[in-house]
Amino acid sequence: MHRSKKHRSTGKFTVSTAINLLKTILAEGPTAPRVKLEKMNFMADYYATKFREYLSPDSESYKSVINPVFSYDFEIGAKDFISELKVFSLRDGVMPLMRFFAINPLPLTHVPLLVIDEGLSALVPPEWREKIVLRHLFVKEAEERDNKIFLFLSADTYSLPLAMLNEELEKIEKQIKPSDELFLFFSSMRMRGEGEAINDHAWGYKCLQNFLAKFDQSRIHILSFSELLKADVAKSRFYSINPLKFYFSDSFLIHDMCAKGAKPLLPLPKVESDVQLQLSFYHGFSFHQNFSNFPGEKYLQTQRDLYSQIVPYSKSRHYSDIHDKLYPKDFMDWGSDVSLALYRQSL
Amino acid sequence: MKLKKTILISRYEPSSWKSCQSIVANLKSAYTELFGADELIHLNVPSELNSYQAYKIIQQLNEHQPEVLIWIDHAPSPATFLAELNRFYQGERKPDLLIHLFGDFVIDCLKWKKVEKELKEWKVHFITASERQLRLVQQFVRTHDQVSCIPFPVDTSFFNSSDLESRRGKIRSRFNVGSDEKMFLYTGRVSFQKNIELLIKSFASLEKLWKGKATLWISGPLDDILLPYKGKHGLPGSFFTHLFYNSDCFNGQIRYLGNLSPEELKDFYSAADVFVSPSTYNDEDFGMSPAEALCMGLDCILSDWGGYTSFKNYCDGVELVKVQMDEERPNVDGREWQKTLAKKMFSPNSPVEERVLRSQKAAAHLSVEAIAEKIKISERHFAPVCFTEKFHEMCDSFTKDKFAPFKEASLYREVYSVYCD
Repeated sequence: MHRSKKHRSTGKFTVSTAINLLKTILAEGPTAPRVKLEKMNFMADYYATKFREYLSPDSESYKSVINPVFSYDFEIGAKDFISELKVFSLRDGVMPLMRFFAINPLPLTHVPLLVIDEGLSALVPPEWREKIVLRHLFVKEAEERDNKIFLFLSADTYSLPLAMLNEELEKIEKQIKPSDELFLFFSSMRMRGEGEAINDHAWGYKCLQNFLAKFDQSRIHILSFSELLKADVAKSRFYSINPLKFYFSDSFLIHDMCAKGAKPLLPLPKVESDVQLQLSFYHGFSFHQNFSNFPGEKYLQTQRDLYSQIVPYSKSRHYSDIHDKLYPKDFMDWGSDVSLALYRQSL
Repeated sequence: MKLKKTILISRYEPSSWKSCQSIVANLKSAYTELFGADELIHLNVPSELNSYQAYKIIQQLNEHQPEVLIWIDHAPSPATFLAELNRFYQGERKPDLLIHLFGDFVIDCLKWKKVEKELKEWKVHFITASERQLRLVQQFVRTHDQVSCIPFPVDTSFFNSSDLESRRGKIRSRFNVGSDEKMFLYTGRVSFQKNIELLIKSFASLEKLWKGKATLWISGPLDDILLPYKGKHGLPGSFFTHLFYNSDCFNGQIRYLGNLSPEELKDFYSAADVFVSPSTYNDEDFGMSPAEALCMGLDCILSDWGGYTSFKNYCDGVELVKVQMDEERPNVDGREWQKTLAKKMFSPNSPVEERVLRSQKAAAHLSVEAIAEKIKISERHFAPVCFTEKFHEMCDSFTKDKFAPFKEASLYREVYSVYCD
């Protein structure tokens, strides 16, 4: 992917209009719409809620004027009333975003401004780009740090293949000192159903084996969610091992850590933008519209071929259907290829 | 005086509330000072206490046959332990129970109600941390003299003015604060009910008149606990968003320090001139931050609310600002707050000698040693506990809606008016 190649919209709604609209929304601050985001969360479809639970606590809600949601929370394209909220920040990873654009290839008139993760910009169809702004996480410069490093492991085999975990562990190894202590939290294993838990245990066990092969056992501490919430993280560093951004691109855990003063273990790239939103005293988002090139006809053809397999959340019947129906295997496999290509910047 | 065989109970792991961590440690020190390390037996309980764990602990009690059991932690609730104590204790004589109450007595009222029958079979004495908490609790028990007040101790071997000057110089030069600049400090939870918005707004408007001569430093964890007793809870990020859009929290003269370690805290207490807190948090039973600030010789501007009011008794550098009970919640009188802040802002800084004297005066009331002297167990009245109608009325409200027990403003006012009378 080449960041320098920008997409330019030729539609009535120009690229700069979207950024200006966002500027106005950020300047206005929280408004009082008839429907509040908190209430809308209660209206989420059953399976959307279950899928959110599958990704918990990464998917836990948080408050911001850009209204962070997952596109599947209430099938964002299907409800007219959402236009009241003016902007939504989609926390989606590759799969939900691919699904969203597969269901909604053309922009919807009632859907307001959308904000997505900058790393997924290539997935935005050209027709949508005039309505989309990209978000970039920034964190205030770090002062002295202690020797605690919190590592979050995301979801499952799709989101973190073991080969990729090993690459990530190499990166981590380069950043840490022998005196550093590693606090490991399997971040997306908190509220899953029994069947999922069994699979995850096997996968989690394999992950742990890889950790132990890399780092001395005496410096690894495994935390429960409540232990993580109680931990003093103010001077710590953290790293969310979610390289593919497969299911989510905007994790509650990252905001929670940053808001408490923790800093990313790996330095974040810098993006120059005067449109910014503080989310805490220490971190926030900046916004831009440097889209990467859309993958093109082959991608669209695959999307069309697989479209018939996609089932809206509300029509699914069983929790175990989530992967089989909402994200059918072919779609997941395609998503794996796309997320890997995005990661390798070779889409 | 012959000391009674005494067992001190607290929990294994430290509380997630920073102030409670200090309180429990300091209470332990005070009792150790009073009884001597060899005479006092410590028992630790898990925070999530189940029947079996309680049984195992009570077996140890059975071995020791204590005369007094002292509960010095806020969790698990002593009420939870009492039910099991009643079932399993086999001593010839039931020990007296001395219970230090924390701010959670009201929100835990249903736990206390559950052991109402057991409480009638044991002799109990409750200790509150402030005079106003004493009045709050006395509303709920029929025997008023089974409740008394002893402040929570401060570790003055650490929070004292011995190296005040060097620490002050170090921090002021590190952060470029001139010696003539007035440094205001808030430490504690950065939370809605602590009225941080008022603090920032009032400071920002005055600072404009006193350009570059005053700074406000805020330290502590930010939380999104809004008004839970009214059913108002915030999503993570709610309170920051509120502050960001409603106050000038990124004004260059207002600095957020985050969560500080005790050493850093001591540095900032040394560097600062005035401690400020307009809190009207509904369970502000004491106020560990102002207590530590006083022992560091700081002037204080505090809301005249809950436990804060007692600090006026311990030091003359304390200014209290009136609080009135409004429809939704208690509020500090904004005008009076602004006036008091202005008075402090435009007055010269106290000389170090004066601060040392103030620090010593506060320590005379709040140090571990001073509190150990105040405990005087034999002078306390231990009696079975009978709850009042008001207590039951409050419990009914919690049973009716545990997520918004004080939705009815009248009940809240009735219960908490003692915090600002």
